[in-house]
Amino acid sequence: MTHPTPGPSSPPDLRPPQQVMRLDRMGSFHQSRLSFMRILLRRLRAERWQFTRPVFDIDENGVGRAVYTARGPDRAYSLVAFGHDLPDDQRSDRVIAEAWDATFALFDGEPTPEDIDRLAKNVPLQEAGRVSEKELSLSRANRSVRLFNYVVEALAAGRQPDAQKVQDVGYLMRTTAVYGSGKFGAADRETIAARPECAPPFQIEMLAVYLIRTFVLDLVEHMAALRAPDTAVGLDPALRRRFGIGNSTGLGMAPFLINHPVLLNNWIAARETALQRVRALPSAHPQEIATLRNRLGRARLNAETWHSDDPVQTARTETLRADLAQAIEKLDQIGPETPAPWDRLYRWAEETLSLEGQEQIVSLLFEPYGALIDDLAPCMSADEAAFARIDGTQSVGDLCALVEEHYDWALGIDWTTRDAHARAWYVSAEKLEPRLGERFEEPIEPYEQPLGIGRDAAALYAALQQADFTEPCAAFLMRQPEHRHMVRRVQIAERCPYAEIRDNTIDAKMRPIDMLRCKLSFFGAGHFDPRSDRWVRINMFQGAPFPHELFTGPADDWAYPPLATP
Amino acid sequence: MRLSLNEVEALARNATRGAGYSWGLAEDSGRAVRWLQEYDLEGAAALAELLSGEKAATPTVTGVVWTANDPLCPPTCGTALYDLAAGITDDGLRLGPTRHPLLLVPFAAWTAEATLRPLRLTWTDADLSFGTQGVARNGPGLTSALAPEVQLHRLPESIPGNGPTHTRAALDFETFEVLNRLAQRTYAPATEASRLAGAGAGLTDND
Repeated sequence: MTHPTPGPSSPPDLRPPQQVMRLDRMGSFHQSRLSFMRILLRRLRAERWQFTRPVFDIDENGVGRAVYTARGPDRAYSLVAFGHDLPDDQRSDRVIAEAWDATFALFDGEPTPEDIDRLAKNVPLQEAGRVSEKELSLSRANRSVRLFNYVVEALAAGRQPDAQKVQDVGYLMRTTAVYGSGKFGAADRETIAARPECAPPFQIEMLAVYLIRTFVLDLVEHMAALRAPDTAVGLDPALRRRFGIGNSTGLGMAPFLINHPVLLNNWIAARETALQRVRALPSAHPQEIATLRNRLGRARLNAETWHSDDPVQTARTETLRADLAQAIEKLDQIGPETPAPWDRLYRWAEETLSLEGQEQIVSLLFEPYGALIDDLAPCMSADEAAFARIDGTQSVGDLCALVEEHYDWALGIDWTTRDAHARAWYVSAEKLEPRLGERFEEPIEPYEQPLGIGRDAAALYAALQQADFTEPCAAFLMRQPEHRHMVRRVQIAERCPYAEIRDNTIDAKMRPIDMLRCKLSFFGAGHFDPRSDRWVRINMFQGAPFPHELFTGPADDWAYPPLATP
Repeated sequence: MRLSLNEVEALARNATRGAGYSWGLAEDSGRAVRWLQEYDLEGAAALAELLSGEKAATPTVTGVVWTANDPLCPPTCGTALYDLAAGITDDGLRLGPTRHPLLLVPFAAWTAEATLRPLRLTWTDADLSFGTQGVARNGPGLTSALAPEVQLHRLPESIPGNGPTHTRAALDFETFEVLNRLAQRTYAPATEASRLAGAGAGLTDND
């Protein structure tokens, strides 16, 4: 640019938590450049990670074992995969399932034959087995009954599967859990957190899923080739990329957001900071506008092809399509001479579009600006131990003021009504599956988990009101330890503005799916397909290049469907 | 049994809650046991014995002296002293009879870290120091079930010590059983109704 253009008349603030940390908005988030899957693939490409397949011993039924190794500049990681022959009537996505079509472990390094034999005895058992510190992640996947056999048969017969059928399902297999960090004996995250490739969140889990996708596509082609060696073909590359890995996500993710307030804060703060930076730009280059126009068109295509049986999501997606049509027209009014174009576009979206539309625009605004915002990725991790300490010298009076400031929304709720506390979160003895129950209809109250933060804030406030305002809260807590959990959260909220969901998480009408979608959008998932208010199907890595094609083609341009149909 | 640190922390947290402590105290108890295991100290065993023994007491604070009619509860005292942290003066603290004082140790270490002031924790046959050079420990009395008195002093400067050494927690079977049984109290018994309604889709998921 040769002449400076004035920036926005007042530089935009970060959006406040009162606006952002609401379940209906969080439940409208979309994937973006800061999603963990995209962060991973940018790294794999930039650092030129090499991929090999030292073991692939699978029969025509998909039974056997395979090893995929990803080698980076400092070390290697290997997916150890086991294929099983699962009868259809045993297939279940629930945590409580006991057998699966395929089971996996992500090994820290390259496994020896002894490692693989050890894993063969435990990994297929999943939660009923144990893994060691050499394993970083444990997961499993089930076949799509609609698509898996159909694709194997089509390829065996020498045909490409029908693109529409592929589009309708989007995956051949779906993971039903991806465990990390210390679960079932795996290595704790803390032991690998200092590795640069592990600095952004969930990179190990995303790598595992990426390699699982690689395995699954190899698997169907391999099964077709064994079935009909003379006629079988491989998948056409563009069609092959249309297969992601599905995931069936249930309630387990929702407590995560509440139990990790510092981490949640850091994710949201990174996203909001990115938005602020883009909005603060005084002008946009023609190339940047062109990139945004391209992504906006593809986001619209994505919305056209986004189908769900859930009526609530269907209505929202229809509105999103209309929103994006309007946004495309609005973008036509923006050129290189437009001052503060992205602030204008964002403000227009906030005033005009649905929440789905607004948050899609937020994600889209990041697309042309990797150089400006990708550095926020490592900021999304958290040292939660550093926030565990309670400052007991803070006075009861000061603590009260903090509750009034950060939990005003909770103090305004009448907690005596049945609806206000109709739900209770608990953990079932059955495989420790997290569940959400009806407090007044089920005998679960004695087992209630501390996930009703609003109610706990109100209860803390009432108790503080009865205490001496000048005494240190350590003395208050020694008398009333039941408020300890909440006091810690209040002090975290003071330092971490986006730590707290500002909605009643035990309300009769609360939709856990809003929490699931928020977390999944940060993972990079797409095609949210709610199956109930607490269960959602998603697609991961759909459109992404496979390892052998990582270095060709444009960088980080896979998250939206391509405009030209393959 | 070899557990990851996250597993031992979760087990300790849920066991503490199962034994009737508040969730907030349970969280701190979990972290404390994790810290002890990282430093190759038998935190899980101490917690198991504490939680299966007689109920331990909350202190009455009289200046720098903390006492009660019954032996003191280490997680209660530990969290209280850590809450005070910067409020601890050069006079230190003196605790009356305390059960399983090993469970106080992480809180003293964290207090030293938070205030950047080295500390020394002693009881019969046990002497520990915390500062910028790690944790120094001495004496065969670290795993005592009951100390007649525990003292916390400021140190003029850090004494050389060690950092954490373990990334796994080795528990003997009995310790695991005791903690697991207590943790189970925090899980709701599975019922057909809760299985169907509580988490999501139905019992089969062919797609």
